[in-house]
Amino acid sequence: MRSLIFALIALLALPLSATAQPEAAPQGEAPLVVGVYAPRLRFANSLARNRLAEQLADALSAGLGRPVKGRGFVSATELKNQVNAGAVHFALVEAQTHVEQPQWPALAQSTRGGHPSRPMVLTGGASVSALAGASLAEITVGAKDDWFRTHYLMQSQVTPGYFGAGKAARDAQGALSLVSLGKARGAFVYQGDQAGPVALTTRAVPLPVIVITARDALSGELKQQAARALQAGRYPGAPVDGFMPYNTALMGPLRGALTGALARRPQHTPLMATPERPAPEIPAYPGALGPLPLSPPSPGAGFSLPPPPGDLL
Amino acid sequence: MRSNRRQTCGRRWASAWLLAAILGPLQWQGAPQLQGAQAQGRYAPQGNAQRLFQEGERHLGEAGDAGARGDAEAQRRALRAALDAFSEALEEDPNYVAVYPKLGLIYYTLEQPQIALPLLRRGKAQAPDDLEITFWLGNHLLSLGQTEEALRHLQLVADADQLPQVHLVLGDHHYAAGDYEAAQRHLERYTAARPDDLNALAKLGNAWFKLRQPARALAAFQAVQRQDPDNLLIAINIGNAHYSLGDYAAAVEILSRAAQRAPDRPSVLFNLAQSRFKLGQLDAALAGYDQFLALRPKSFNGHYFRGSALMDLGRSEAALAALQRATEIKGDVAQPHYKIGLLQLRAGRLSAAKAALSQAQRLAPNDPWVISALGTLARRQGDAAQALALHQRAVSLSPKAARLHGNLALTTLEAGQPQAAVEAAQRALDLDPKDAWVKQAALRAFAAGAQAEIFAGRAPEALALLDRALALSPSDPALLIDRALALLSAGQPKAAEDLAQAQLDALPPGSPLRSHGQYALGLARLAQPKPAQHKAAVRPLAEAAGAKPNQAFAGAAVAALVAAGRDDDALVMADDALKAWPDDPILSQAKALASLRRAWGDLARGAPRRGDVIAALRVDDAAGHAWGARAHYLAAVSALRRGDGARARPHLAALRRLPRSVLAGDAPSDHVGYLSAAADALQGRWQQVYSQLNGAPAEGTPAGAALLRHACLRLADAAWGERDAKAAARWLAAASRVRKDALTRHNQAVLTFTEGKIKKAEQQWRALLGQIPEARFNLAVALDAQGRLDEAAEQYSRHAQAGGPGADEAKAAVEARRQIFGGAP
Repeated sequence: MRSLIFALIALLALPLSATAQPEAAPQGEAPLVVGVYAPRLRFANSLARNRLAEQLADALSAGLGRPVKGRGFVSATELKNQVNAGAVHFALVEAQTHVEQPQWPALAQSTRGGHPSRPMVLTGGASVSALAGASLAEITVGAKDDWFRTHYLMQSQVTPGYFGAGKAARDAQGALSLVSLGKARGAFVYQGDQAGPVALTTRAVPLPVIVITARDALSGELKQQAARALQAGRYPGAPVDGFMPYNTALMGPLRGALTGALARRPQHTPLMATPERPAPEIPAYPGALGPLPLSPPSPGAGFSLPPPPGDLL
Repeated sequence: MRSNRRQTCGRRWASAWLLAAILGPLQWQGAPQLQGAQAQGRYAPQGNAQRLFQEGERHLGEAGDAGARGDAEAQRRALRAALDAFSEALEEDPNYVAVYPKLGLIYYTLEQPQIALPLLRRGKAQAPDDLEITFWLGNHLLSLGQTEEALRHLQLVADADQLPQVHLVLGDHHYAAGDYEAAQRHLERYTAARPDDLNALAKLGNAWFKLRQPARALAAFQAVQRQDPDNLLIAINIGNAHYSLGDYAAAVEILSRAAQRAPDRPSVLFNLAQSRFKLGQLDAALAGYDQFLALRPKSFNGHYFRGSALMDLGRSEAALAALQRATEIKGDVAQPHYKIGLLQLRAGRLSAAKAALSQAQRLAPNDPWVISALGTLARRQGDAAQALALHQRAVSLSPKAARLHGNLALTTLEAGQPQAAVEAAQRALDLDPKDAWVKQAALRAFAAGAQAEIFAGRAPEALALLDRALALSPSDPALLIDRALALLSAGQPKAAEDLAQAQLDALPPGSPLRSHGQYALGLARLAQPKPAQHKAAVRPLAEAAGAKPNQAFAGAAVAALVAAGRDDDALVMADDALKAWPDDPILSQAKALASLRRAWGDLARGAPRRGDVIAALRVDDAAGHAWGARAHYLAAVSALRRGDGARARPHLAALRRLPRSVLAGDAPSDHVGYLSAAADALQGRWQQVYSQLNGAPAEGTPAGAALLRHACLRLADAAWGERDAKAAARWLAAASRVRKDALTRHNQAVLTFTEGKIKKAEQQWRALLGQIPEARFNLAVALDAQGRLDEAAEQYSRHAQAGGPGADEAKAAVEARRQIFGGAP
């Protein structure tokens, strides 16, 4: 990675004539890699996932002016291994993953139809109550998948054991398959990806985020360049179709649900009862007044002076 | 009565009368002559010389006869013959000194002093002690203007007291020289010796007149008139003497007759007009001046006095024209300018008045009347200090002019110095007690002085001054009403009431003095101790205030209403009067006190009117601390009862030194402390409430205990809000010590919950449902904490519907559940 940085610095330090060469990348330089691991997005197949990875790589490559490769992942473990091996520099991951992996700083927020979030739906029944005790297809994302379901999607209105034991699914397509095969009663998928009756439409869930998995992959200037490149990119046929600047606030409720702030029970604190605003009794004890100390005007004020004799003229 | 004197080459010749008087018809043969014995012992002349002397004597006699006949030419011829004879006699006998007086006489008659003088000096040398030679030497020297030597010789003759004529000569000389005293002295000696010399007597009268002794002059003129009743000049002089004596009627009578005899004699017409002017016969005087001016159209005096008469007739514009004409004729006399100034002042043309008076002052810088008029002008212009200075200067220049003192009194009064005005008025009165103008000025000064004494709290002095005024005008109703007021001020309200009532009874219905009388009557009743009198004071004072709206009368009427206990009426009237006199202290105080009393009464029954409380707070500090404290007590209690602790606070601060007597006897000892705690409670200052009441006597009262418990609960709540459970527990314990009830039990259950005893807390809250609104919310929380979400949701829902504390949180919980489960959970 350090060699990559040095290479970039060297590249930037080249004279204009050198950078203006058609093939900007020096011979032998390893391309950057952008991974895609967003199991809650519904891809028709692995090719579709890889195509999005390539689209991201093209956008980044165009923006950064160096080769970038895209690569799709089907498990969190595989992604982490490759990241740890330094083989993946960027990754499109679920918002939940982004919260669970705070060491991966966000680069850009994906959108769909211009929106950075989208409700999920619980399929498989006419109501939540109808699915009480039912087995759901559960898309595996990370360690706090239960918290995600119970406190974020179900807003703590059910206990963790409300639904029956779940059936693990690699991704949304897999979950829907389990439902269609009857191995599960329902599943939480993004609105629009479902089939059959909807028991619940949840609050909006943040769409995946592009994170920097290689800490030293890009300098500050290049990060901005990469973010702008992602926003400028085109992603036809993908379940996310654009990017926007990352917004921390969008992650607040999700982070609250996953870190316990919204997950605790009870959700409210007992109140002290306060008495009504006091209307204290105000007794009065006016004593006897006696004569008022009021003096009339001076008798002198009533004098009638004889008229003056007139001017001595 | 001037001598007809002609002046030639600087020599002044004696009048024919004087010559005749000296010589006399019988004196031509030797006049003036000494007694025979003295003459005979002198010298024996030679025969021829003596014969010539006798011839000269004979011719002198002829000259005398011719003079008596009025035959001047024959007289002259006879004198020439006498001169020749005497001259020859002297040639015959140069030592014949008796010739010299004859020559002196003849040359005097012939008006040839230059010829006479060397002869007489020679004779004087030969006979130094000869009084006749000395007499004629003196006469001729006088004729030649050698006055000093002449008087020395003539005085020698006068001292010898043998020739009365010398006194006539000296008297005439001194009169002409303006030394009237010397003239009077010599003329008296002469007329004593020659009482039949009417001309000398008349001249003596003139000398007296000039010496401003008109009575003696009159006597002399009347003595002449007895001998010469048809003498017009004497009649005129007698008229003038009467004029000078102030006997204008006699002057008019005599001068009228003189005017008939000499209608074209300007002096008669003028003096007659003057006398009529003095008699106040202004129209007749004016006619006289017009007659005079027809003869003497350029007479300054004519125009000046005509202007003066017109001025006194009130014909100011005509007077101005006449006086202006006088100034054109003679611009350097102050008087017409002075009178023009007065007329302009009278017309209110102050600038023109100032110009004229300033001109008069330039011409007569020390004329007290001009200065006094300038003072009056300054007074008119509102410059009291300047007016005062000028009037003071006027009286210093003419300290015996009563009116100037009177004018000073008026100005001093205007300058706000009534005592000095009284002194000036008294001086004016002392100088001229009959002058009506002075009396009026004194009346005003005395009354004003009395008023000032009353304002200064010196009633006896006021009474004394009013008595002085009443001595000048004993039945003056205004002064008598003033006296009633002074009696009241002197602590004699009954006598004041009686006097005021008597004056009111005597006054006609529409008299403007009635309001003053009613004021005196009302105040006199108000000053008496009986409440009935106070009630009776209301009507006259209200009538006075209605008839003559002024601050004092309005204040007295309101004070009477207050004294009569009619606070509602007093406040209505006070509010009305305060619109006109917003700063009047009595009205303000009356309003404050009446408001206080009404609010004080309302306080016992309920809520005082807010306006009354605000007005009561304006009680003057002079009323004493207790009254101010009452007002603050009213304001504090009223504010607290309105629930306004902030407004109550400054009044409570002012009550720190509340006199115990202000409150009723059953008031708790720390009543004010309790009120302070109540103010703190209303402002949410719970710690202060606790500090004020904890352990205080008020804690033992129901109200105090309730407030203390409330404070503890609030403090517990605040501690709980800060997550300080220990502090909250302490405050709850303190509240429980005061009184343990559902609310304290409920809140203690909160602490139980925090200790993890959720089930126990749930039970306690469940038991308090229906008593404490928060209990249901807390029950929901407890159920939530136990995972009993459906039950919790139900309690949240019910709490959200009931409202109250935590309802918003409950609604949010319900809404979240609705979102998940849809509809009812």
